[in-house]
Amino acid sequence: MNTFYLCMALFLALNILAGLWRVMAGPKPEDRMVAAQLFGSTGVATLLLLSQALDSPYIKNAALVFALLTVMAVLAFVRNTSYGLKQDKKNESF
Amino acid sequence: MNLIFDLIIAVCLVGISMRIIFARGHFQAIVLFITYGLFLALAWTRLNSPDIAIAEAAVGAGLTGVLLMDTLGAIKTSEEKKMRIKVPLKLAVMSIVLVIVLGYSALQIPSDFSGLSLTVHNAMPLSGLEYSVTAVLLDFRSYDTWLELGVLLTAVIGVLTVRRRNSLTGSALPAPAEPVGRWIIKILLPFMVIIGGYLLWLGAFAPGGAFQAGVVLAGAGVMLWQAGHPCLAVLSNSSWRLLLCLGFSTFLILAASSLYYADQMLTHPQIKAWILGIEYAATISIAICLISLIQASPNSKLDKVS
Repeated sequence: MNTFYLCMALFLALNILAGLWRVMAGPKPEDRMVAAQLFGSTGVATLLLLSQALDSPYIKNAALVFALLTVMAVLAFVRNTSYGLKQDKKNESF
Repeated sequence: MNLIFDLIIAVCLVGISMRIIFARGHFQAIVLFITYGLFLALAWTRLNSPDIAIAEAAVGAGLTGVLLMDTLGAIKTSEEKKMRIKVPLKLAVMSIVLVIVLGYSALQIPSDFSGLSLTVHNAMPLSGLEYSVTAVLLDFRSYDTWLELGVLLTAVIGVLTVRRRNSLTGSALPAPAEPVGRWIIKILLPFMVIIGGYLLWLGAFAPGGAFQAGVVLAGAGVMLWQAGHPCLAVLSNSSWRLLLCLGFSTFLILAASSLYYADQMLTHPQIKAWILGIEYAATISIAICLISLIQASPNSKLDKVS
């Protein structure tokens, strides 16, 4: 069963790798940010699977903390684009 | 299977860090850095260090992203120059030498080497704590923890000095209170406070402790500030400073007072209250220091207002 959990974790890690393409290709900042947020959910799942695979229950706390705090970066992103500098959206090289 | 997973994580860590250095846009580098934090947390998980995995997940996922985004928002006013980053040859040679030396010393470690864990395990009854990592941090090497609190405090003072600000209160909120922010606060704030307390309490007998709890509570404070909730602004300047110094000064007071009844500094009586006092003070101090770092760091909107 542990091998099964590890296989699933590996699959999710490969998913993150595939998603990295969107982070690098862009082209808009929003695309990159949403991809990173999806990594947040995938990362929580990967951590939970690893905690089962390695029989170490306290890794679940890392998943818990991760799930709570990933939203911070989005808040900062929205704040900087909507209340901060308007030209950010036009700037494609952002 | 384990080997494949480890290899993928290792390759990703190196690949992402290279991509961060060579990324053309700053924003892309920031998003990659957040992802890098996730892979680092996975790596620490595989290395069987849940303590560091929790800390890395908390810092990497949450606060670093906010700090970097704010910095980017502040420096965007100046025109961004697109330039190809060249790695100097000297630096490359030095890094390669460093990699060879580190790799060679890693190969020299015997496979049955247990480090200091046996020594720590034997000394555990002296500390009165149940969990070895907390015992090392707060008892055996409390001097280090004390100085680390000092480093955080110095960082805050440094940022305030560079920004020419003498108070942390009274600064404008980064955003007006809007429905989405209030909604997020309503859902997430209770969880953050509960989980912060839970991690703090967990530190006595399992992975967790002051730093992890402090970072989660700092996340709660930063969320309040980001969503435009003014409740942190009601703290007066003096109480803010008091909370900033709380962890460091608690250590200082306990270290000085321990000289009266013991020969060496930071020797503590076998009571839980001593450790708990330090741990609670350190948590509050770490949380307040991290919130101050983010509040005082460059922010495009605040700069325009002031």
